[in-house]
Amino acid sequence: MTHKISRWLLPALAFIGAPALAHHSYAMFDMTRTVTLDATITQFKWQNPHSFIEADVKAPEGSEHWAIEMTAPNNLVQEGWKRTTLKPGDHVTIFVHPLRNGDKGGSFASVKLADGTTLGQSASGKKS
Amino acid sequence: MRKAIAGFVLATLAAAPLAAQDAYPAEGNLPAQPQVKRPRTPIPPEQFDKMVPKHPGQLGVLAPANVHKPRPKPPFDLTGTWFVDLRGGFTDFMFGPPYPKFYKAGREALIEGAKATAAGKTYRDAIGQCYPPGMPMVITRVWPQNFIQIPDAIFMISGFNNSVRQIFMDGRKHTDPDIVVPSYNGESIGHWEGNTLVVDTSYFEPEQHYIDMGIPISDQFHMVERINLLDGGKTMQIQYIMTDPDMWEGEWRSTKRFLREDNTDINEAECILQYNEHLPGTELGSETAKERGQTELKGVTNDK
Repeated sequence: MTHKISRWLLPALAFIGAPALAHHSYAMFDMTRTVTLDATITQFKWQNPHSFIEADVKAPEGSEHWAIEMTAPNNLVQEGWKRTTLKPGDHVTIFVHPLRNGDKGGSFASVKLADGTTLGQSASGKKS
Repeated sequence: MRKAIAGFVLATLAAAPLAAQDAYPAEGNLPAQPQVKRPRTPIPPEQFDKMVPKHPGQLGVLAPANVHKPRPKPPFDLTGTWFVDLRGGFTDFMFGPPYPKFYKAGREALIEGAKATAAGKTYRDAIGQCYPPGMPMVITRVWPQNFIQIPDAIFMISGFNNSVRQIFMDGRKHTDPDIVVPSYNGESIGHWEGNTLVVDTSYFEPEQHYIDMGIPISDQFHMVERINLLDGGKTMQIQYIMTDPDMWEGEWRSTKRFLREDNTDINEAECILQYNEHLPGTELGSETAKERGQTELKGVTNDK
């Protein structure tokens, strides 16, 4: 599943991987790598300039907490997102491009919801 | 008793504003709503008059007598929502290369910015720390830009941070440099040269104000924009001619195009520094992530 999504993401990554160096420098994220998170949502904030997800993530040695940065709601809407798409307690699979330094944070790539629906984010490279 | 409750409320709010509501009993057992009393001290007219900012001898651009002053019909109307044309590549949001010949600070930015990128770090993350992007970067930040043109002014409102810029078209001169307040968008005076709108902008705030990847400006930064409408008004082209004798030699020229987007509007978008802890791409967010420590999850590379 991860590989399938990764291939699907490649054109988008080519688009957004290089730029965005002034603010949310994507340089901090490893855009060449995708991590699959077995996640329980603790917070989903629908806001400008960036939405974000906070989640508890199942790890080999227990649980980790991650912060996942997203693009703006105007762009997420174009991918089918709603303000109510995620709520605390939801158990989902999130695909992220992780921080290059190995800390627990990433740039959102896509999510597989409990009902099987998969949502990505617009490749807008939205900057703030 | 009422004073005691009010005192309790004030103390609670001052100590922990966000937790204050939790300190109250459930609905039905709430304390009586305190009566709010505020002393009213009249402000003498002459004191009130000084509270209103003014520039005597110069009508404001929204003063009806200024708006409706007879003027030649402008060649075009920029009113609309515009979006930077990035169809040629995302890096078109930047203003170089080509770059002018930079002095020390600019060269350092080019070198250190590239090093930071290679190391996966931010460089001069001023916008990420909620400093205003300022002109020229605010206009290419991949957010819609509203232009509102009236007879004696053009207002630009960015979808990002709702940054406001006024271009005065009423024939005024730049403000006295001894009283002007430097700003991130500068002070802009426009006039028409045939079918071109020419905008002259000075008085920029240089603190944490960068172009492209951390290239600094000084208080000598000056910008001229030559603006035209193309494609029957669907495309706006702006040629930027930027000088800064303290930072680079000669002119830094760059041309950007913007597309008219009729099916969108701008939203309120506030940069709230405290929220950055949730955004690992910012300095604060990366510090928060560091506190959480290293992950055990390594993922896979995308090309497998």
